[in-house]
Amino acid sequence: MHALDWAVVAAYVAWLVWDGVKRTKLENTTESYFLANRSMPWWAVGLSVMATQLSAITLVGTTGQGYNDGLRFVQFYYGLPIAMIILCVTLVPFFYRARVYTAYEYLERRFDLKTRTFTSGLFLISRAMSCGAIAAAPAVVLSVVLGWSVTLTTLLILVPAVIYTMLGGVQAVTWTDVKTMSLTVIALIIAMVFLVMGLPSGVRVDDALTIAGGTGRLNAFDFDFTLTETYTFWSGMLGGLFLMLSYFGCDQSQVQRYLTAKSVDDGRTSLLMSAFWKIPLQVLVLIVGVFTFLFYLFNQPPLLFNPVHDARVRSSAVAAAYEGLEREFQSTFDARRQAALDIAAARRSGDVREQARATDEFSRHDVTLRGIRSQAIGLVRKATDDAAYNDVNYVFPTWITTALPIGIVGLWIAAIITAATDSIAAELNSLSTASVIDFYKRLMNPTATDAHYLLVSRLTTGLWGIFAGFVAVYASSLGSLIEVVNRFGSFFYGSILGVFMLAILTKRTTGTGAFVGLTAGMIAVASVAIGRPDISFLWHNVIGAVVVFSVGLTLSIFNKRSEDQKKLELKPF
Amino acid sequence: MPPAPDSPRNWSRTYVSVIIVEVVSLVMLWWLQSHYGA
Repeated sequence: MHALDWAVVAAYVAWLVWDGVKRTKLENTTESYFLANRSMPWWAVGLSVMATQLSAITLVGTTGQGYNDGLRFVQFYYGLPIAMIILCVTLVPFFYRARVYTAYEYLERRFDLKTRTFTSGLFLISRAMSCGAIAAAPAVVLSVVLGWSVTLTTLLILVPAVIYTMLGGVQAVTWTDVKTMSLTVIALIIAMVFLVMGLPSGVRVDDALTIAGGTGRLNAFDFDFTLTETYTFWSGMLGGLFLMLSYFGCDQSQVQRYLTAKSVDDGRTSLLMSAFWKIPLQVLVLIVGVFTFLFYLFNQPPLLFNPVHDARVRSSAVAAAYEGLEREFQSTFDARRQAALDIAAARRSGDVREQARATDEFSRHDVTLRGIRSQAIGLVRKATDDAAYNDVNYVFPTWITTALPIGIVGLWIAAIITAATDSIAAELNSLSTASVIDFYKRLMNPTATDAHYLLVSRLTTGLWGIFAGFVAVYASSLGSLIEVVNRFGSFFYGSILGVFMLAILTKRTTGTGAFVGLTAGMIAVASVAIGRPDISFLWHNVIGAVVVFSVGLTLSIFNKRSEDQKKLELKPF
Repeated sequence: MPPAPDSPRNWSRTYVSVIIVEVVSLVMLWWLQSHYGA
């Protein structure tokens, strides 16, 4: 990277940290530190909700998914707008009227202490691990692209987040989210402009879309009702609905965002901002990925986008096989590019038969190229023991650092780093809130002064940051662990949602019923995940919520009946 | 700080507009798939 790009990255990160730190003097009570005195404007909260969900994994991994699979992934979000409406009607007003700091605090008022402690504990475990994974995934990619060690790139992501979250609290988190969300959208639009400008002369956007569509990359609907396919219309509408209900309604990292809003109405409006904008934004990210595919359709890409693995394979025992694949890749790439140009020319001249012939040829070469890439990835796995290696995560960062002009590269690297930083900051803030409010203040030291709790909150933020750093460095050295950690969260999400459903939708449910239901839900999800690993993790959310709700409610009715029976037996006639 | 009072805003119109925006987004994606898709 050029010095000017580094200057852009350094200036932007320094600005974020300075702006966060200067809010320290505003944070003099726990309510201001955790909830900004419930005074934030709806638009800032709305952008913060979106920024917390949009991590660096979205910018790097989702563009890679767009490159590889096209728009399929957008189906994951089809349930989101409906989930937001349901939350605005149900949980949001409950949380506001209860004047809670954490979502789990509400569960003690509705059920009992053990249900609150259990769900808050589950949140702490899953979020602490995922916080490390959120740092690890971009740290690994940036270390390869920038040529730095993973520890250094992890520190580059984590240290700013820890500093401004520790000192500036939720206000620092929210206002940095606003800046980064704006930067991300600007960076995506700039990328789109450069990608369209990068099309060869004679290939119009319409031609490019026809070529991408011919490979299936513009397919945004798959109506097959199969539990084993992750991204279908039904898994998005049902599994995605339950996941979004749980993530936005029961996960402290999101609930805390809208608890900072001025009123119930502002909280609702901030959530609905995601309902309006999430699908279009996700389509933009994926379309950028699709156009990156088109860019590398006309410009020679490397066989592998990860230069470190490329070098390791070349010096391994499979080097000869790899070089053979590279020659085959080169000739097939040339043939596919020519076929793509033929499609564009045939479209211009209106020659339908020629277009059909060129399309057939293009598809044939495209399938061959996919096969060659798969074989190359197989060689990487053989030569490096990196069983989880996925080349797509390196596609977009490679395009950024090689195809964009000086200055814009810095802007994009800053966007990736701070997208990770922002998500981590929101998680550290919520981890600290749950630790202090649900455990330290509730169970260990309930009578201390507010100044004491504020100090403990800052220290807890720092400790969670150090923990996330260790998880990130450890996770990145194991590769596949990142995926395990991400899936780990799906064990809990549906079950926690089931507890909140019991709290809000039923009057009969008892604390013991909710607690046993939660345990049963988690056992059910774990059994499905282990016994039927082919079932997509999106359905785990539905299974967890349904089992918790039915077991919790049934047990409560049974318990209540036996209690009523006891009362009758004891009643003197 | 005391909670700000709720406004008497009617939310059903906003919820309907969320659904309309989603339906329009899906129709546009469907058009993209059917016009260009494989």
